[in-house]
Amino acid sequence: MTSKAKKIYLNGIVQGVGFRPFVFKLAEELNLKGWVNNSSKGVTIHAEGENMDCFLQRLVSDSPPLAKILMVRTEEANFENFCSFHITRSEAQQDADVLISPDVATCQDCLHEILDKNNRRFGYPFTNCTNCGPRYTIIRDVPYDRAQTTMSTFPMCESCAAEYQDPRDRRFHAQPVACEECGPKVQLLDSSGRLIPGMGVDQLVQGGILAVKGLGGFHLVCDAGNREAIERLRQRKERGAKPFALMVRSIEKARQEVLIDKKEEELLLSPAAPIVILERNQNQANLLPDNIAPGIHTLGMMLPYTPIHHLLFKGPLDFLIMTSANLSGRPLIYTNEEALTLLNGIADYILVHDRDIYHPCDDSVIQRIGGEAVYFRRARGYVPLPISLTSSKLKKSILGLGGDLKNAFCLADDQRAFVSQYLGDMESFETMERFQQELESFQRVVNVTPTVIAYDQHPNYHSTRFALEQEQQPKIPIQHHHAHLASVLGEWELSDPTLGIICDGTGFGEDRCIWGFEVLYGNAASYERKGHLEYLPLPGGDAGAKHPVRIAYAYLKTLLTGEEWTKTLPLWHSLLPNERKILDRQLEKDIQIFQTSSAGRLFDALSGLLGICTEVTYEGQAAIELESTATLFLRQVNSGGKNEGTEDVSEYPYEIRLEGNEYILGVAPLFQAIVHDCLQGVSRGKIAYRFHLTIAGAITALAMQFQHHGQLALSGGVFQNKLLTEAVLQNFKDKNIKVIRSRTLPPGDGGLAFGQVLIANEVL
Amino acid sequence: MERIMMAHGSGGRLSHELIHSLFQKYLGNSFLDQMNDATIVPGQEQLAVTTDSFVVSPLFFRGGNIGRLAVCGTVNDLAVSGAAPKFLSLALILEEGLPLEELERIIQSVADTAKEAGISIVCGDTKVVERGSADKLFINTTGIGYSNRYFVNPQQIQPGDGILITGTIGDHEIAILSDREGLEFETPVTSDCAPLNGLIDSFFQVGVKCMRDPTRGGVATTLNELAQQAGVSMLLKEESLPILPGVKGACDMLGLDPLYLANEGKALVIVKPEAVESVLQVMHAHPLGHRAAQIGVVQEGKPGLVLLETPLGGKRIVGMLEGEHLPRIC
Ligand SMILES: [Fe+3]
Ligand SMILES: [Mg+2]
Ligand SMILES: [Zn+2]
Ligand SMILES: [Zn+2]
Repeated sequence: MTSKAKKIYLNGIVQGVGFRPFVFKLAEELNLKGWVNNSSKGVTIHAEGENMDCFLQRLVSDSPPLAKILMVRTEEANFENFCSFHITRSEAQQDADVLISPDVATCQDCLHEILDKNNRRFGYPFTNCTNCGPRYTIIRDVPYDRAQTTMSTFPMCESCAAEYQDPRDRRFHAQPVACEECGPKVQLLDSSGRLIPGMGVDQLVQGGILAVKGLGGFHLVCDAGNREAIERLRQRKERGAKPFALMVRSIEKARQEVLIDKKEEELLLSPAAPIVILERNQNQANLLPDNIAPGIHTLGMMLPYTPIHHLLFKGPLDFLIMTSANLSGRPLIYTNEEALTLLNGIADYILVHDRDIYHPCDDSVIQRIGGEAVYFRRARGYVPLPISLTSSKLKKSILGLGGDLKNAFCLADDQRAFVSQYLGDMESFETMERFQQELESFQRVVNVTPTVIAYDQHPNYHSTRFALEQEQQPKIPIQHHHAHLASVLGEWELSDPTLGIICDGTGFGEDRCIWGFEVLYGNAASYERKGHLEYLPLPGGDAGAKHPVRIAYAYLKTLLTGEEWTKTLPLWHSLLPNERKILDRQLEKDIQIFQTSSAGRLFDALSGLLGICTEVTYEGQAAIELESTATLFLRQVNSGGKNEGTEDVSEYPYEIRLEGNEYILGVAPLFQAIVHDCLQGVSRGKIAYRFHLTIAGAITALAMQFQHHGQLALSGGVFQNKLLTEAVLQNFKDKNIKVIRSRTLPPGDGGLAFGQVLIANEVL
Repeated sequence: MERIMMAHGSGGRLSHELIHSLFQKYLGNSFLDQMNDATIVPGQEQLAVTTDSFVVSPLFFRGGNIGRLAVCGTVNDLAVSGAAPKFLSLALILEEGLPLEELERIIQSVADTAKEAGISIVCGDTKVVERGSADKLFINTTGIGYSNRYFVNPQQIQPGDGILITGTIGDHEIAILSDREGLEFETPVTSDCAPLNGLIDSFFQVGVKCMRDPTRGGVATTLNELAQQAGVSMLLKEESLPILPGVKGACDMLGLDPLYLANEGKALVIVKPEAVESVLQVMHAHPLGHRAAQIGVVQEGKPGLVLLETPLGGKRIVGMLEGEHLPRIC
């Protein structure tokens, strides 16, 4: 009988997910001998024995839940006649190819332990195993080993070491393994720095505001049922109207407040445990105060995802406000030192611990739109998962710098692209510093050293300035909406030219106008602008964008005829007479007027015109409140609760005209009709709803000018609008046109960097 | 109404009349009266010389006119260099058709401002161009000053130094903008156009390391240049920036940033830390300096980096502006 020996190489997410113990157990079961180890190239196995085919097959089919195998390669090996199967030491190599796992929410096994009085980990806030716990946020370098993580300062006690070394144990080589005796500890401090007992549960009940150090950074936490506490938090954080995220004890409790369908439940319970944006339950009296999310019909909720969170729910509270601890406009706070200085005065108590965070990471935010998860913010739980480019290979290693307001960068080489966690607004110097820090450490973790830089064409972007200061060459400027298109096509690995409709706020256009509602045809290699929303005057640029009524005024004055305009005069009561005079002069003499085809500003304008949002305190507020108003109208109609004009919830008129080679969406008829309705006293909910239908109709009509293409890509931040997007999807479904949307990256600027990389690769 | 004709620049009778009835009448002094091809002025070892051309629309604006501007601009360039301005040349390019009455008011204003600044107009020139070849009136002035004080220079700037401004920022540009475009803001703003040599004389003392007048490009651009030249970083505090409510209101309306607006009667003064208080005190005592304030500090850091700290404690980069502030919100 000739015994076989094989070397098997696997890579992908195969470290920190219990892969070697799985191999060990499988080999024992199949009576194979040899060894398995981790290297920076992945997992290597030397196996000898009879059941080789079965072994190879089950390696892939039975792999642990968190593992993701991207490549398996086998080769013949010398038969060395091993007498057992064992796990050998990790070896470090120059070229790391192993993928690091994102952080994983506490598993059920670990949860049972911390709730079990008889378990040695009862109440221990850092309990984890190979199936759960911190990963990316604590990793300094590869290969993934305790010494390379922020757990390196905690030598294991005997009991933990025994678990760690036992291939049959759930904690075998779980790098962050720890217990009360040997691991990190929490401390509760009051605002004067005095140590107090407990974990802050009682303080929360009493209405206190707690800063809690979690997985990727600090949260500010308070009782979500306590209106005063929430108000205090808002004031101390100078937060305006921006909604707060919630953490809820359980899905069952969440259902008291929001509607949750099967897929949303899956998202909430997934290992990434993101914040899911859910519609508030309209049919019953809600318990939670409306100052959590003023003026909007949704709540962002997540489930506890670390033992610390589970322990916070040991008290009576079912809902906690759980908002990222950052100071307005600045990046997430993640070190104890920063928290103790910056959060003093905001938090009454602070719950810190001594396990350092290496990669600060905000919570991810997702909403289900048209049946699929749409990322609003991609961070904890998803980073650093790569996007694999199976059908193409990058010519060089490329850094895409992303956008400016919701920055995330992308590092890519060969056949993989890694998009960083959401980092925030680059206008803030601290965010810029965080960006540079993460750029450097991310290069190590994903092992990509970029030689080429792709950046947005916008001359005033901070990322543009940064790009121009770097040594790498070439530096390739990329049109904003082309990057949006390339990003979504790249996610689906489509390389043929495709029609795309990009609706977002603003991006710098080739003609130096501000683009934002664009019909583009192309791929990463090139694009043509086939159409757009007509240019409208945005007074005062970004300052104007904070005052939606001013936008409405400028748009309507431009769009309406003299007679129609005169009729609108009663609609401008929220503008001061002087403000109007200045707007008139600005428009007349073209002073600080920016010509824009922005879709976002169109929604803002209507929100302002209807008086839904007259001053913007957070990005997207005007459009979000408009969507809420429209959605609530729809719900009322559907529930039969409203008599008013259900017969006429149709599209408003608009026009599409061909100018040169471009189809221009004209909105004069739309606003004429809206003004008419406003003056007739039609409810703003109805107007807002019909407006959404109209824009969805216009998107469809624009695309249908090119119907021979049969498929269409949608991208841009405006497609985070559920009402609009679902109306658009329905339209195309009726017309049998396949719609392609972003699936693992945000459709907004969070997905921009990936598109930049793909375009730069074509330019090279 | 009498207007400028091509013949006013021909060197003939009309030119002479213009010189006598206007320039000598208002500007005459022992130097100008020499009427030679070149004027002899008393000198000393170290002279400071600077030149500037002035084109502004409208010619007359709230708080000044192009004549006053032409004197202040050059006087201030000398003064912030640490020199005592003494002599000024005045060269005019006139567009055919300019009302003589307007020219007279401007020359009168040149004379008044020269007197206010304590300097003499020592030579001049007038050219007339055809209608459409210039916009009403352009002025060039060259200034000479005595540089007998120690040298002010960006190389002396060090971390810890205070950054002072002699008054409110952005007044000039908002005044010009509202007058040119007919914008009526809630609180009208007047240009700050003024000669600064008197104010600078009052506070100039050991410890003043460098001065600049933040004209075109405003405080932001000037400090960026300075930080680059000195190889230091600077941190400004938003709360401490002196800004008139009228300027603030106009900026909020139009989407402008006061840090980038032109000033014509302000100096940025870099002062060693020990001298900040005393310099500020003297500034406050002067009529042109009563709104003087420390707006920031020089610090270690990336050379050329200018940061602004907001009231919430966050910082943003105040860069050189490339063109206009294009919308960024996505
Ligand atoms: Fe965008
Ligand atoms: Mg000059
Ligand atoms: Zn676990
Ligand atoms: Zn232990």
